[in-house]
Amino acid sequence: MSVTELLQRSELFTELAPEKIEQIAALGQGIVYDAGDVVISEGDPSNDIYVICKGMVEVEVSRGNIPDVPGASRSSSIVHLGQGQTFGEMALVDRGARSATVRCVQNGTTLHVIPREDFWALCNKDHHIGFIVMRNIAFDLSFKLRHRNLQVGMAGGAV
Amino acid sequence: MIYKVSYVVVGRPHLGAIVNLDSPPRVGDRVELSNELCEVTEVVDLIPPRGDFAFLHVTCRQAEDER
Repeated sequence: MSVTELLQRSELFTELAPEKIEQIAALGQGIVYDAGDVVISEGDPSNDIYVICKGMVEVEVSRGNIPDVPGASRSSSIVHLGQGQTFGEMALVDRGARSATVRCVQNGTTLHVIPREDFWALCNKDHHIGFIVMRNIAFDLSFKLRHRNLQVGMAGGAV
Repeated sequence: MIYKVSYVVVGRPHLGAIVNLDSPPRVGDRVELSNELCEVTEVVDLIPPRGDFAFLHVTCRQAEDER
């Protein structure tokens, strides 16, 4: 399956014509990771958007420092993301620091990495792409928020 | 149709996944989440379909033989 075909299976690019998706695909490159590799770290500057073409990643957030253990922190896994999912898209919207750490959990996890500035420039140049992508990011963030709300609800608040 | 699925495991707040599938999960299916085998107990539409995508929420429990 080509990168364009893989991106077509991501909600972020749904309702875009194949030639528009090809333009987006051409901005980035595929990178293969092993299990345990950290792709992005919480608090780091954000530069790229990631589309999972193959494999699975785990998203972790820190839950504060552990008392009496200098430098130690505890983190919680909040979700696993599989093929077709995206992460790092908040950077396209707000340019803030990474809000979570993302780690690969399967060998051979393949990500299509799109530089934020290039993607932003394309969205500004082609407003149709910009509108569709921003709308789809809103849908995706809404879906992730609903997922998180259900997780919290089913845990009885003990998250 | 692509099925974008939110998996949540009852009583396990840190287990969960979002994945795209070619066919919808069904009650009784078994799925591995974070190296733990889970059984699907409920499948519901999370939000209305849009374009080629359907959006499902799947509730799971830890599989009996994994306890």
